[in-house]
Amino acid sequence: MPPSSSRIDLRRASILIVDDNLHALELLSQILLGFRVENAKACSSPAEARALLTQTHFDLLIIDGEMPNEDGINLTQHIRRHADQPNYMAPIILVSGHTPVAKVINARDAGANTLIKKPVAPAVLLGRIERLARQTRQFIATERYAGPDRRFRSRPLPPGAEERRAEALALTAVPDRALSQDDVNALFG
Amino acid sequence: MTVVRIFTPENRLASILHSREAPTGAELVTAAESRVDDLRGVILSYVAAKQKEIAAYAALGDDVLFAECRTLGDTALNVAEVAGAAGLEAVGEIARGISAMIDSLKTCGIWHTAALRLHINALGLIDQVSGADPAAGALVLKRLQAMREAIGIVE
Repeated sequence: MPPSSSRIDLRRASILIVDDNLHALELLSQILLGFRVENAKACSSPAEARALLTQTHFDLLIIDGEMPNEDGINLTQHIRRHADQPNYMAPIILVSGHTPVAKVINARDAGANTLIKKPVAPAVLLGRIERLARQTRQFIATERYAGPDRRFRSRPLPPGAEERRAEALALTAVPDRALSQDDVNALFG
Repeated sequence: MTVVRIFTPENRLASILHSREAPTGAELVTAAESRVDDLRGVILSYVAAKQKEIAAYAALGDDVLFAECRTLGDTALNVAEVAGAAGLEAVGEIARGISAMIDSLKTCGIWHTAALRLHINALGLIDQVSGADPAAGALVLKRLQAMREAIGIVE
């Protein structure tokens, strides 16, 4: 993914990162500092994050998919289940060392906006943040799902948009393979 | 009847795109990559220490290895999550394989002591092999991946 030529001002963005691996947490923190984020909070456990999530409204949540007691998918479900809390609709990027199809689909169905493979590459992360900033997706909430509405509403598809269904079906046809970042992006749309 | 609510949330991130004075995405990525490079030494030391911890598991008996596999899996995953950022992609790949093997035990009941030991030993040798001959290192990774596929490891 080539670095964007767009001007991006992340100085005032408030971002929460959650990761039990302190070196991965430091890596993410340094990447955000490189992006000039001045208001990033780092938590090393979902329990610590839950306390902050009830008090502070974040512009973006970056959550590790694999943590010992409660993983990032569970934390995402928790956030999406609490409509009365400030981060109910906040964009969520999951980061994960493993990307089997089942995990990517679970992350998507938990209401995450996207998933990035670890170790996180700065260009990939910034690309996804920029994409989220440009997105105008609606939010959909039912008893079983709360998160981004991924349906295409336009008929025919908007110019430049490709039909995703065939591609997604092909990816999920082999459930025991690890997905590349491009594969993951295709499943999230 | 299921109640469906659809609404347009405020995109609080959208404001990051409205500044003419801000740096370009390319400049931000360069700055972030430079900071990641600065962490290289710390990550290399961390990975080396964890490689030693993981190597010690190869000497354990089958039963002990099985009993301790959760800790091994967590350690391997921690390595996989950062090794690539310090240029140790091959180490990260094998560590990811070890973690996937332990995960497969949890999710599918798959357990192959010999394959796991082989991965642990490979983790300790891959730097040497890749350093001497990158093609040989790539071949080791390919063969290990083929082995994981053959025994049904879900990655």
